[in-house]
Amino acid sequence: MMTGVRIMSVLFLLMTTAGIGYAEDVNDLIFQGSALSYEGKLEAAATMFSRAVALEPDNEFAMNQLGLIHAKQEKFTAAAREFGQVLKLSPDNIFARTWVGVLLLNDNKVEQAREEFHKILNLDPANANAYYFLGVMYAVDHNMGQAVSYLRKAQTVGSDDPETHYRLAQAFAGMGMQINARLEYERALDLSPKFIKALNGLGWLVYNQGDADEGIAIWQKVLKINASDSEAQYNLAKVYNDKAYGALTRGNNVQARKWWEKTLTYEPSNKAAKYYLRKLE
Amino acid sequence: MDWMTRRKFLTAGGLGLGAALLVPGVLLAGESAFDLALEGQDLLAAKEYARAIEVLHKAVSLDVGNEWAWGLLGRAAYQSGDMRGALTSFRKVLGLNPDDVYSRMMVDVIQQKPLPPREKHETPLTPLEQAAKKEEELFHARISEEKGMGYQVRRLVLDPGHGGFDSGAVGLGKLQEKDVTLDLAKRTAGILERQKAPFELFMTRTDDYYIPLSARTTTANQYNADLFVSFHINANANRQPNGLDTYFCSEKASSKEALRVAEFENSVIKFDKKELVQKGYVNIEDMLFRYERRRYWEAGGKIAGIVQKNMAARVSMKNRGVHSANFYVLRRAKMPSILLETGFISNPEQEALLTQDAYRENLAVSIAASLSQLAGGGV
Repeated sequence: MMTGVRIMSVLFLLMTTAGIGYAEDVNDLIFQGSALSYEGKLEAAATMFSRAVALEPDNEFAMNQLGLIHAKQEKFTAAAREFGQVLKLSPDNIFARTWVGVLLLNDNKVEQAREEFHKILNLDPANANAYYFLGVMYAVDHNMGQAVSYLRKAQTVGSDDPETHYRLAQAFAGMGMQINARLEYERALDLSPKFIKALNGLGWLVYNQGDADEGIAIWQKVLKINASDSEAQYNLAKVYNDKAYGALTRGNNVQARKWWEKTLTYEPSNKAAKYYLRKLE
Repeated sequence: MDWMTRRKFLTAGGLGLGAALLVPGVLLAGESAFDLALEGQDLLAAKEYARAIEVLHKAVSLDVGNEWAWGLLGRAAYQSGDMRGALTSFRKVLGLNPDDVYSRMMVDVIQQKPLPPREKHETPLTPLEQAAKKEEELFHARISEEKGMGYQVRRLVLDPGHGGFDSGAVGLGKLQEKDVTLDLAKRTAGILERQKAPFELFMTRTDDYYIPLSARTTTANQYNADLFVSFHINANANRQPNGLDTYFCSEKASSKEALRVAEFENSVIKFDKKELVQKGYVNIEDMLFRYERRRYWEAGGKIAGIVQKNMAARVSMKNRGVHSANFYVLRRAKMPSILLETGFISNPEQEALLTQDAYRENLAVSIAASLSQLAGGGV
């Protein structure tokens, strides 16, 4: 019991230092709200954070969490209101500013979003998230040179998350830089071995380099992680359909048949496989 | 672990009981990780943060998987104002136990405000990293002048519609859509190659064989293409309609005619139920995905406008304009994509035109010119 009190006081002390509250019940509400939010119980979490904000109207953390929950629920206007409120209180709250940028992107206000991310970099030149989003914006425009510059910067200042490595890998693959693409896919997968988008990308990278078997093995691994991943299914269906057609043109009908049967296991409605299997009967 | 359980766990640690049982072997050493963590916890409570950090660093170096010691180190670092160190420690806890609510919350709390840069630790490069570094240096030299804004096009996938047993639409004079689309795509590729246009070109098919719709966009994704161009010829039960159209993908059809064309082109497949997006909670990556798709559709619209304008200016067919619809063949592409309807095969006069070499060449020249216009500048 003594230790329990001590832990609570440590929690209280930490939160006070973080500028997120001073009343014990506010801290409890925030802690419970966080726990509920992480469990995906967003409505219940929002209730906790709302109560925290009612008790302490300038609690940035609680307001940000409310904004985050609204965004997750696609209540974007309410989310923008919360983050805007935080920024009025504290213009250097980079969490709120990052979300303002994301919401602007969501609203297709691309230039305003770009400005917001640059504002973050003025406040915090080592902000990995701002570099990441700017990198993503360039990557979406297939401006891979700029995308690589910003994503690399995100990595240099501390973003070591799989999405950054994945986006870098995609940018490099789009530029035909296979060595860097492979390295970045592998880095993404080291951090998150079941990262499906990275596995699907790596599959094509090795396949295009001539290692069809490794590509196939990678996509099959994806389907072990998620049996209904449509991208891996379509990748495998395409590859087996190509192999089957190749076998057919070489006159190897037995092999062609096998590959088309395989195609159908990944894409049961594949019209080519169905047609040729009927024809080869 | 929920927040109550977390507290119970910490309480057990504070009393020096449960955690010792959880980490058998640790107590065997003279100065165990557990003893050090306990000492660190006491120093933390006594607000001797520098000493606590020192002791807790020893604890985690003895037992790198000790979640409790990492959590204490995170708190000590936080209290001493070392936000980067605190973040690293709380992230370490989450690596060991992703359900730890307290550490997750502290990561969120710390990330509200600017952090000092991460310290760099130089480590020797692996052979793959060395090769990647060389490749990247060459890349930076190559793209140093590319600072333009807007959508950039370097890799093109040309997709001749239909093929093999799927003839597509057939005219009264027996002209088949699949043959015209293949010829047009090949001519376009040939012109671009002869002009040494700065594109990497890929084709979904180079002969008369059938490619499933799913495989067409998969090919574009396979090569990380920047633009997907699908060649088609329009048809209608009525013999009168004629002219050129260019389509791009959008959520809703821009007109009833656009909807009809999309339904016809989509008719070779049944929409996959997995395509339906489940309603649920979104995260940042979902929002970025939507932004990405909107951007591609927007760029697709602009490119469609360029191609349509050039085609209509060069060939003697009615300009039916640019439309948008939800084409399956375009929707799965991870890039802007357009679909060209280069005349009506169902109209006997246009069927006759489409059989002519000179007419096809003219069309291909106008399409190639449009694509060349995209090189180097953003859309």
